[in-house]
Amino acid sequence: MVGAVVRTPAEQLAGLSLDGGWRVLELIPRPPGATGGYFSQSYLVKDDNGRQAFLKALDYSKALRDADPALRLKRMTEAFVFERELLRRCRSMSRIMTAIADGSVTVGNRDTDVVQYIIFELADGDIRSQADIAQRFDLAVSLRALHQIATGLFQLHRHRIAHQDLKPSNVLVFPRDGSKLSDLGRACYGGLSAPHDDDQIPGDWSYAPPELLYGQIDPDWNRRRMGCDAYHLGSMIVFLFSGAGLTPQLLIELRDEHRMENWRSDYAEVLPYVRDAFERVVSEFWNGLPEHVRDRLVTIVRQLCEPDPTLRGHPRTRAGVGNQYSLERYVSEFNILATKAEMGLKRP
Amino acid sequence: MSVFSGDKDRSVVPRWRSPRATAAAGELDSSGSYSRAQLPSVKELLEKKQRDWENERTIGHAGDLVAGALVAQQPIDAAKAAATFIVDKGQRSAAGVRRLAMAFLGDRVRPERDEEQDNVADVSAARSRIRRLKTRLQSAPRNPFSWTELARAHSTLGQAQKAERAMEAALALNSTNRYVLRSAARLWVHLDEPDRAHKILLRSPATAEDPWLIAAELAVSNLVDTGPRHARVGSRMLSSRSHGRLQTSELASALATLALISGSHRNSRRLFRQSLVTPTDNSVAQAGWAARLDASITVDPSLLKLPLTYEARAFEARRKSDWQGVIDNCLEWAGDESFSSRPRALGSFVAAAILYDFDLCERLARDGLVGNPFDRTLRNNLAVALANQGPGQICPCRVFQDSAPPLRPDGRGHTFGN
Repeated sequence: MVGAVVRTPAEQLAGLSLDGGWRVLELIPRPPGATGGYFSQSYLVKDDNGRQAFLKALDYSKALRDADPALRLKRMTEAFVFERELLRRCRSMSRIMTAIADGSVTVGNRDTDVVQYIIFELADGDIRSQADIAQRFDLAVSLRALHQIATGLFQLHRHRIAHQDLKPSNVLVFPRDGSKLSDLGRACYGGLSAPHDDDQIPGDWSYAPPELLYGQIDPDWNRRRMGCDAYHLGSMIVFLFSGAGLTPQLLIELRDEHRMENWRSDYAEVLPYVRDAFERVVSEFWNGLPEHVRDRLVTIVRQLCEPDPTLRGHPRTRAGVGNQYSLERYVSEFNILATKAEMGLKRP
Repeated sequence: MSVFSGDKDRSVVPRWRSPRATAAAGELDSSGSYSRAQLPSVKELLEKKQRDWENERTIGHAGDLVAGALVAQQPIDAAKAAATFIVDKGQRSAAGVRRLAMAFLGDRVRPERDEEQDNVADVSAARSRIRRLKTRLQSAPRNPFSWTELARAHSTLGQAQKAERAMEAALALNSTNRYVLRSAARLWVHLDEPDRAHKILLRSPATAEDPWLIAAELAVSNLVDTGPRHARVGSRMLSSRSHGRLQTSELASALATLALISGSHRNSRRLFRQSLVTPTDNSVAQAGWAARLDASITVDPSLLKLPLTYEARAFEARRKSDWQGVIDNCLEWAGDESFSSRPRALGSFVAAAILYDFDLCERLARDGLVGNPFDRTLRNNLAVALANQGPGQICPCRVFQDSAPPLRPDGRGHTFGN
């Protein structure tokens, strides 16, 4: 048996039939939007009607090889249950990539070799292609994508769910449905405790708002979670039109002594330097935008990515009562901009 | 006869440069001891981005890896390869991702244009800077540095009220930031209102905890009647060595000046020595001034090679009778502190009294009078220059009548600001 590769149960699903008429076709590399990384496997699956989807199988066996298997198993299970629960609650949301089905299957003859899975819609790709001028969307499609992304976040926010990890690889593009948000693995839900609730930065820190990078933990749930989503939406505008998120562009404008790893005071003290860097990025961004939308888009970026989270959000929304980070106005604003661009109007 | 009276008194009142130049001089580092939590799962996330990029060699995947490596400050080989891939794609890579890749590979981000934009060294540069700042402030009025820069540009043009209004706006936006407070203190000292400068420093809660602000408070207190408030806190801070040498250089210098004024020469010598371990250009100039009063205070000549030490170099050149050296350094100093009268006063004095270069004297005096229209030394030197240029020139007596604004009714001039 020397040299034989022992496959884990999660690696042996090809050919199996699942509940709901699904058949597992083949093991595939991580498709766009797949979460879980090293501790899960992805498969192409097909139902009786010929509809293809992808299946994420949780790989407990790999967790057993971890340095602390008990802790790893606990984290995996909590994350899986949390994501499954959240996906069930999001089923009616048109702009969220929701689960088609979830369940478990026994592999082989051993009753203990049970693999849990979730089946998702299969996307064409994500919007990272925007960084390539030859493949990027035209203006109307970009604006429509923004409208759909904002709608997705708005749908989540209405149910007190903050996505927390909106980034280009989590915006999936479907051939008929346009853009949808994926990966609720780092989301926070007001009312359901999440395994990552105490994390300083729940999502990908290379897209995180500056206050989180500098360790400012706001005790206000709304400001910390919804404020983060608002920033991510603004950063998505910057990405769609410049090919890079706002956070790294902001950091390269900061002097080394003002970067988070060198700063030894609180966020309030570094804020003027962050704001100054932010203004330089925004000014550069403005230069690269189509003339007839640049002022409006830059104004929105300034509102959504305002470095001081207490001042973030639409000014009219902030002036009223309720959620200062409400995205409702932006949803309609992006819709108007996209519709006018689709109609070929030069003055949105 | 041309005159220069700006060397009688000197305080280590903060320099006022652009935020970028001030930060480059190391004056805007954080002074706290707070330690930030590390980014979580750096290795895991970068490995995931690297796997994605290895699976799909696209500009977008490369950009994602480069962005991660830039934020985490991890110069990993895979990210270098990804950055090179992006740059090699040329115009096919979108502007933002290309900028990230170039920054990751070590290219500085737009240094020349930034320096040019900060420039307010002369009237036309200051006017152009004001135009740009006003446009920027229309869309981004919350940036206090845009307001301080507007104040600095207006000061260069001698527009005191506009400078004050701009500085008040900066203070309304942020009254605890070190740069804003030190710039405000410098402005009101320049406008001969040291009491106001002192009050602003005393009112801010940040002052008692920041060595740079305590230094400013002690320096400004030399110009007012109320005396210093934070001398004891400053002494404790200095002896605790809780801050770096550069961070406390001006604090030591300000305490040394107080000791010198009170006649405690031994203490003063010790503190000046301390201020020169890792000095700012302002501390070197202050120690140079003290050395001219007290021969037992010495300044190592090698310190004059430090960047921006134009003032100290100009006075050292004067001591050595290197008159061209005085002029050269005064011109550099005048470019560095565009609103200040002192470099022009010293330069015009030497140009007229020693070099008999009355054209240069006139130019320096006129430049200085733009930002300091009430300065009597500059007016005197301008009159001397005009009188010595022979017939055909404007009558020198008109320098004190209608060719320049009237002297202030209170008779105060701007002969102190350094």
